[in-house]
Amino acid sequence: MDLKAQNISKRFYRKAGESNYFYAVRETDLELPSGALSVLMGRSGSGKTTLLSMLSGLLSPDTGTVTADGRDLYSMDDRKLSAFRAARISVMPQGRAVLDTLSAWENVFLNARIAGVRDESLVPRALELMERFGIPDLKEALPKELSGGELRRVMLCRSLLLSPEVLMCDEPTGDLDDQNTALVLDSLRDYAHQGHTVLLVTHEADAVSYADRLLQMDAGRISTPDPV
Amino acid sequence: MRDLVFRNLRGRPGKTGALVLLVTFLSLTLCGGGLVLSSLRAGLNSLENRLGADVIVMPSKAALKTDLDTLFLQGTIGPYYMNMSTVNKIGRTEGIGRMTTQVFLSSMRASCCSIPIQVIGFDPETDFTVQSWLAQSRQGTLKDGELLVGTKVNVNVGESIKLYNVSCPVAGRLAPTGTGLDTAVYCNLNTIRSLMAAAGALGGYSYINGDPAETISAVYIKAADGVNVDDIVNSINIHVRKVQAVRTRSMVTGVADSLGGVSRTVTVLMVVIWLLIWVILLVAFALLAGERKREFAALRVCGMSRARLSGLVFAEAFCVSAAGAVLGILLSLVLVRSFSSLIEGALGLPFLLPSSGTVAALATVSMLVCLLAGPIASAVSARKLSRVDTGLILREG
Ligand SMILES: Nc1ncnc2c1ncn2[C@@H]1O[C@H](COP(=O)(O)OP(=O)(O)O)[C@@H](O)[C@H]1O
Ligand SMILES: [Mg+2]
Repeated sequence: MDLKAQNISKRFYRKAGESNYFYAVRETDLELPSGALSVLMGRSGSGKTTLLSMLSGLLSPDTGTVTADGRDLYSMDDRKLSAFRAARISVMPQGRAVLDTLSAWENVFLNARIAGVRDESLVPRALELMERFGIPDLKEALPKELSGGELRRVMLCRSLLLSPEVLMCDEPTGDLDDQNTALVLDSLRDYAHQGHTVLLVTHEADAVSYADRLLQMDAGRISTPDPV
Repeated sequence: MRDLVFRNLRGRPGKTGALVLLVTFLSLTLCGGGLVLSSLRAGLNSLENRLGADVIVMPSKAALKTDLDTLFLQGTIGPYYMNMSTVNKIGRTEGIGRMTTQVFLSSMRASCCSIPIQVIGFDPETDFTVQSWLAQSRQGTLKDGELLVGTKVNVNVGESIKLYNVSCPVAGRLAPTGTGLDTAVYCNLNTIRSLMAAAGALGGYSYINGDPAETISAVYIKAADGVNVDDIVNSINIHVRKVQAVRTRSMVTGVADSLGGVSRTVTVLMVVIWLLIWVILLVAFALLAGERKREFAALRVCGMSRARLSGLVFAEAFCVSAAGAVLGILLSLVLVRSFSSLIEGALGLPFLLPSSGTVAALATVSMLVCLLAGPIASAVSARKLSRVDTGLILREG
């Protein structure tokens, strides 16, 4: 599924109610093709997360449209958009997005639970994912018992469990060691090459070598330098 | 989704417990207050029925010494008696429909009596105030020497009570009235006269001089249809000496008046406390919502719609409310039941647990109100949480 953004922008006010605003993302056209790993890089505060939020249907842009599979995301009502996101667009946020009352295993199934998918085949897939990312022993662990890196891999397993057509990861390798970073980047590229649309937001320099498409963000503006 | 609700609730036992406790108080205020109010009303009704009579005539001395309004809360009017010729004079008053006599005697705190208790002798032939309360008894009429006991007397039917060295078998039990009459025992006139004779022989009642058969404590009168009760009262008070006739309704009205006052106070108190707790509940939900923003942002990022997020909050509030409501109802039943005599004493009003139908209705209303009030109190937080800014977890590093 291709994801297409036309002329999207987002501005924020410095202080609520004041006319003094700035653009987190300036008017941008962008296309994320399926089957390719798009890597979005840029300094902190350059607007990467804001862009990812708009592309994934979580933040309504001030101007422009985002279309997925030919459907304008922000013209859908909340119920439709949520259902669409749950089924087809997976987001792995930069922050800690787990339920503390659920075990790691249950957190891996959170998307499936919300999307209402009760497929027996998800169990071996979840096991395989946790195995692949080196956290098979943490099934019963509670989030508060996990390290940042472990938690991030739980979230990654969750994002991949339903094999979403679109996957967006914000700094997924933030607190991972080199070996695990390579593992994650490798998996994301593989996943993209299976025909999925993958957007990776990172400031990890290594990611450049995995990118099929490199996007550079600077003060809300996107440029597309040639892949190195 | 449903298991998510339970997981959330079980996952933070302290906070869930605190919320349940708040709703328990809501339900306790409502159901407990309602029980107290309807118990007072039931007590009053029972008192009215129990009196059965329109007029009570007693010796003037007794009338002087007894606070009429509390007469029936305490049981009897003390050791003051009138003789049969007086009773006959009363009986000649015009307009009397039914008339019956009673004799009061207290047992003593001494070895001759197994318990200190009020004994009320009534005339089974003419009685219209006691026997209608018979709850559980052997077949047949009350024989000489047998007793009926009030509901609070701790002696079983079939057992005996020793009064002035006379052993009296208990033949039946009266239904609860919520008044002092519940702690008395009842017998026929023959029995009470032989008990008085026995008491006189023991020297316990030196003031009983003369024939026990000539000794009457009170006369109960029911006016004939269409007769003005006040005429009877006035006629007796004018024509019969040394007795005082009182309209029973004025006694009940006294009770009813103070009942009205107490009811208003209890109701106002109930409403104020209830609202206070509800506001606390609302604040508690709102505070918890603040703590749970990230959790709901996570659910949102994972594809949950706003409607379902609010649904989750409401479902949790609903479960909490259901648990609290049930606890509060049970607690109020236990409390009101175990403290009923304390409440009765403190308020100085007849107190009688209402029928199980009324209790069920009260419980149902409390349940429904709590099931509404809880989720409504969570509406603010439901709104807050369903509109949670996902940037919270999207942006954080
Ligand atoms: N909700 C918001 N309100 C105000 N400013 C915001 C908001 N979200 C993001 N910003 C600002 O927009 C800019 C871009 O943020 P972000 O997209 O998170 O950058 P990045 O992910 O590249 O670090 C930052 O200066 C940030 O402070
Ligand atoms: Mg960011």
